[in-house]
Amino acid sequence: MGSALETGTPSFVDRFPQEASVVKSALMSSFIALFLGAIFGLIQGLHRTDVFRVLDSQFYYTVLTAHGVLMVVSFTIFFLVGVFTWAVVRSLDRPLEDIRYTWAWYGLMVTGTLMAVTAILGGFVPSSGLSADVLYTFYAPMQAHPLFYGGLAIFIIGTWLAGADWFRSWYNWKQEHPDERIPLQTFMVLTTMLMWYIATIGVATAVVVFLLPWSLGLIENINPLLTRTLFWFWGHPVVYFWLMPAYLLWYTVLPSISGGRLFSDPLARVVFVLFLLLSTPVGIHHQYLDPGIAEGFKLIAMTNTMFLLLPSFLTAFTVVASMEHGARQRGGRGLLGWLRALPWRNPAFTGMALAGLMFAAGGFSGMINAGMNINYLIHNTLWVPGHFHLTVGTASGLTFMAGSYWLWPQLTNKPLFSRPIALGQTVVWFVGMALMSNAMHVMGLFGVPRRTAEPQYQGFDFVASFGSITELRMQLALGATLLFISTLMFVGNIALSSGSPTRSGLGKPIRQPLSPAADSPEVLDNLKLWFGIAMVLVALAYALPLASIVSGSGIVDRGVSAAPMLIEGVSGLSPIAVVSDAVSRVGVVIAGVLV
Amino acid sequence: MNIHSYEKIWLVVAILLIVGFISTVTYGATAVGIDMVSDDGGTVNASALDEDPRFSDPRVEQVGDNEYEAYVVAQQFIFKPDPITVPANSTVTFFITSPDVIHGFEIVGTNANTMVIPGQVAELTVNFNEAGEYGVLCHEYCGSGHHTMEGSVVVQPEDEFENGGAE
Amino acid sequence: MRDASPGGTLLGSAVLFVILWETRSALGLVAGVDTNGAAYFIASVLFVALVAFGLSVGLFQVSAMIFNERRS
Repeated sequence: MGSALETGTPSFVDRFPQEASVVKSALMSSFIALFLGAIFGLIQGLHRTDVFRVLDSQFYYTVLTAHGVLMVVSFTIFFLVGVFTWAVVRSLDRPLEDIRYTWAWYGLMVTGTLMAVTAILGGFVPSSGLSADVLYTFYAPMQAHPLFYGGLAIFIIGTWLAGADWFRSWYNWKQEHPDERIPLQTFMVLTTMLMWYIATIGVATAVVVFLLPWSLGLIENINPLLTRTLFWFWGHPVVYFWLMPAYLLWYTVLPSISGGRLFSDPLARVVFVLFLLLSTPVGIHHQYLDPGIAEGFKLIAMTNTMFLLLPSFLTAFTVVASMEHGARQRGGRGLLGWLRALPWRNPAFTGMALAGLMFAAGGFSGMINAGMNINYLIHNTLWVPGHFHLTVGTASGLTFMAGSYWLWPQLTNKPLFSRPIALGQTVVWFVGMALMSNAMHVMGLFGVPRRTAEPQYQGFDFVASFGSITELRMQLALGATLLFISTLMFVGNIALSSGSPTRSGLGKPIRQPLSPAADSPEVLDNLKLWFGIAMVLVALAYALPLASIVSGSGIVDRGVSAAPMLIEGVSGLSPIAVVSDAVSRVGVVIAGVLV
Repeated sequence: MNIHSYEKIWLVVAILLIVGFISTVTYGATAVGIDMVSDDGGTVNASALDEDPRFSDPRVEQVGDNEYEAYVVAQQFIFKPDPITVPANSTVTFFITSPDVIHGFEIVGTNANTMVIPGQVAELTVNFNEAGEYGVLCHEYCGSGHHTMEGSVVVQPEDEFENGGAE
Repeated sequence: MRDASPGGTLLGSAVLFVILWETRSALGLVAGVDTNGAAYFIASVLFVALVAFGLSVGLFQVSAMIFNERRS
């Protein structure tokens, strides 16, 4: 009791207290978003399967918008900025240049999130006039309240400033270390942010040039195909923005947790460069079935997408090789027997291993999506959410949770509340996700649509080639419930850890790779070159399609009018009635979930 | 750069797999003749559909021997015409558009699937073989009644269709 | 004598269950074999529980059998 022995490595918060504070705040924002998003996810899972409907179906789309934005904009990206800040500071071994600037961009991200979430949640209170029932993809001509678009824009600007912060750190470090290779974690952060700058050109243009002025009434018409194409310009690389922090953890943390070292630093660099080059010129694969885009452009997107599989294949090799190396260091022997020597009791390890395993399945279903004409079978069916819950939901989400078990004690100097609960959490997530995602994939093949509150139609039935649609619905609901329980386990564990006594010696070192940076050609570190090539590839993939859309239907389409997404409101209510109405509605939701 | 020999093998296998995927998809697009929805449908004035000879009167029309064209309007929250009636053993080219927001059009249980974007016309050619009935649904969120948006495609035996079963 | 740690048993059980469950989809979609969902689920759970129990009390040296390790 009392103060602990001074043993072990100093932790991150010991060495960089101010930076740890920012990282912690970013992670906490991320976990809060995850928790809220999970509540909404459970409501959806129970509603669309007709297991338990606590809301009127028109509110389902408000729930769905909230779930999408909270999970893939807030949860993922707040986690990214936290982990990337930690990674840059740790690998460059220097504090941030100006902590006030850092808090400023973080504050912008929080502000933007609050604005957008307020607009979305306003959909539960029809008399508020605020709503954003447009889903995470906000396709025009559906129109949300300007607060929604404004919030997203401010959030993205926050991330741009974050990238600038890290580039500044690296630049100043470079002045002091002119002949050294970029440390691997910083290299990963910088290449990811370069990809992000390119990617956000699309969505920033869509939001700032078109959607925000349009929602404010400053312009009257927009071209829905154009804004949709600009969205997907960003919409594919954003998934790599979700994956890259997970890859960073798999490459730089997982080998050390496994008891070994990263198999190859050079190949890690190659993988990140490939993502910088190929992430953006593929967006049209989300639009294979769109009219107004020629088949040739779709074919180019298809070939680019297939090549984008390569860095993930390479990652699979390196990650498994590093794990095997670690296992053999721990005494594992045999062709497959080394698997037993891995630290399965460590929730950080097990979570990442399960996430990686599940990612392989997600990658395969993604390959189906990418197969241009095969896409006809599954486009906009429930198969698609089945796919992305494996990738962003597990490869990213579960890795983030597992990584938090490893990182959080180093930011707080407090050990995790319960290791067994953490281990159980990863397993419950894995099983829950397998059940839910399997049901989604199969139902999608039978034609059940995504993004639909009541996929039970009057005029026809879905035909299942085995079992029945009913049991698939039950399976989905069961999986969603398990995932919600797993989220509670995670958030609860982290929250309860704040009650742990402070200890020292919680620092965890990261060991040098087996094949170090020096083994790789220096051209890999030439960020300007790779950025330039990436811009050329994007121009090749998008210039002609965008030009053809604009020449075909105009930069704005005067024939298309706005469709404001407001739920039929009740007018003339007093403010008290408005508030009590809202509270009772939210109360019904929470009661329905918890009871 | 030092690449482990196992990794070289893996890299080669991965690239072969990728090239294999590209080849099979390209084969499907060219040899087997599965065309993608493209810009062939052209554009249309979404707020003046009633002035367009095709969409002012959504219907199925014969344009050749066993060849038909179906003019379909997808709007909040119905498909017009409903049902879409076509004869068996026919080739039907659908022209689909929307006067309001983005919708989806899927003949359930088949690969006849497309997006419907206001201002654009989606052109999709489908071969119908045996008689039967299919559901049609909208799979792109289009508003609070999205989940009620459904239609049907009725494939009639040829003689029934000729005897006034059309439309 | 057990040759599987508790963590490993838990994890292995989860992975085994998922493999069995996914196999049902494969049977249905690829081979056209229809199986009763509830019965298959219960059977999978029972099978996994049996394997987990067996591993944890050392009832079978499964890892040695599969992984070709020599035991003296």
